Amino acid sequence: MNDTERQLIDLMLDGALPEVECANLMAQIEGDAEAVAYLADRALLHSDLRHSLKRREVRQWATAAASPQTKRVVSPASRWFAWRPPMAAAAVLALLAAGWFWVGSREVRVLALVDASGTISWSEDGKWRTDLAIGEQLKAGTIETVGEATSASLRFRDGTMLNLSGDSELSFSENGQKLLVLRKGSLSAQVKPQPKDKPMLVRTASAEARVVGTVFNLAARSEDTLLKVDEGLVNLKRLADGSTIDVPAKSSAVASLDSGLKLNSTTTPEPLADWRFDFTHTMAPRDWRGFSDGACMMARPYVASRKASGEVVTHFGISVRTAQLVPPLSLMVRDKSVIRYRLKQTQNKSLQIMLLTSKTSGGYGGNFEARVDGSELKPDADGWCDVAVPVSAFKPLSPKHLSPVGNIITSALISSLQTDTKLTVVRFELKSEPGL
Amino acid sequence: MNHESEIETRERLTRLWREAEPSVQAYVFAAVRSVQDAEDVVQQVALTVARRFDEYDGARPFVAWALWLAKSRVIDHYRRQEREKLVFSEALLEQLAEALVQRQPQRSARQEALERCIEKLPAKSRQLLELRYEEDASMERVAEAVQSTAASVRVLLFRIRNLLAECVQSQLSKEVL
Repeated sequence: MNDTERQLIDLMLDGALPEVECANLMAQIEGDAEAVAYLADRALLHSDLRHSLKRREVRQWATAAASPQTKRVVSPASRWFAWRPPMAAAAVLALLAAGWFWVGSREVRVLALVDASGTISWSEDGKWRTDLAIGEQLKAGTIETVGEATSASLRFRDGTMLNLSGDSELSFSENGQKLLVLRKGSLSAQVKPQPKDKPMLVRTASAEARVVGTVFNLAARSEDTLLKVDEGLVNLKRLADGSTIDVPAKSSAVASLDSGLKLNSTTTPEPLADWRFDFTHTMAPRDWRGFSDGACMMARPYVASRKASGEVVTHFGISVRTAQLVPPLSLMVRDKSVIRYRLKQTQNKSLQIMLLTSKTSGGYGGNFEARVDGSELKPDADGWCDVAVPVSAFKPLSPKHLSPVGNIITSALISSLQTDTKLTVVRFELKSEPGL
Repeated sequence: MNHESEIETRERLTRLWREAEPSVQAYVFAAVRSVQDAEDVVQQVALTVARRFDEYDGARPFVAWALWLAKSRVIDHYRRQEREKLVFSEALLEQLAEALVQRQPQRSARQEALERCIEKLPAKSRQLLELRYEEDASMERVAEAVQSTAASVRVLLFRIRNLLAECVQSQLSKEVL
């Protein structure tokens, strides 16, 4: 290799060599062990220099912040570019570790637990606690809601409310900027106005939402993220290709890991008071609890709660998660609403039906439970029976949310509790029956 | 997976990624021209590594596996850019990955040596590096800031990097002695 070729490699690594020349140069060095070794050494040197100098810049900023008289004058744009890689690296590590990376805020109480039902765990310095009390102030960490019908409401100091529901896991921090990582599950938020240069950031494995003040729901699913905006505007970035979209009020968008799919927003349909899902000819979406074969939906075991000893309580159930349809479907509960199922069990055991709800304005609306005694079930000769439960039979799980009437059902869950009765459902229906 | 083993897995993944990340960055930044695109590709690699960590065979070097995943992400990036011809052929991407894997054992020592070598540079050389890397400035912008020409800056940066490479090598040789 001569010096000119070495210089050209350096130029290429500086991004200063035209693409055609890059391609020609790379074609020349392919198979040339000495040239490939030089390219590797130089690429590492460039990378180390970038890393090292950005870190020095961050250190200098920290020093400048501590000593105002030594403050440097750097344009906001260049400051952003200087911070971009450390921020990106931090975000990546957050997703990798989901342990905690916003070290500076570890000692500060960030959130208060204002309401909860079901089993909730919180990590404090790597140790998990399940004995959280309502009103408890939490430092930056990770909170987990265990079980389909579990929920936790959390409040930041500025009044921003978060609600986690179902099997969800959220890491959170606030150090001048609210930073959240939703590793799994569903998060709804009512966000107070945030500084424009420090929006609340919510990351999932497939997307990043930037929020300056709004009401929204975010569901981190296995291969995508579903965003539903009720008020305001949320900027959604698909991590697979970096494309972004502004999702306005009353709209939703899906950021998939598959960047081949178009990223766009669609208007959320108006709430429905009557709706039916027939499992006999429609395959249930993958994120609904249960096993669908296109002819029926069979119950699957799930962790309903976890005892203080760590032992899990397993229930067998089926969920209809209308909030996770695309676009999300809103089912409105009215005072004359009835929940109906057509189902079958191998034994006439008692059933639990849960309604997980949100307010029409988008906030958390509470979870509600009804029980159907096994003796009330009247199966036909083939074992099928129809179950109808009026909304008045549903009891609140928290005194803060007394009735589901006027709320939106985000998920309806039916279970045979801890007994596997091979519960099978062929139809779910919400019906408003004025005669009731 | 229970909480403790999940935490252990995450900690292991984080540790392995921290060690491999500079090599992955070097690889992606070499193959992808735009800094912003390269950062996005590195992020995609990290996400892929996290998602597929259960497939990682602990008997193989982690960096080799991460670079193997990075190769796919770089090729995806080329495809999205609708390149008719890859800037780096698949063969060259493999050769570069292999060379980076060979250099992995010395990574942290090299980084520490580089920190010391940067301190030894004259102020003007450090200023050029700061403009180039802290601010991701183009040659033209660096030249404007130091009231020089882009051609001259290119040559100066090439020489500074050569000096740094020699300095790092010399520091590592002393450590061996």
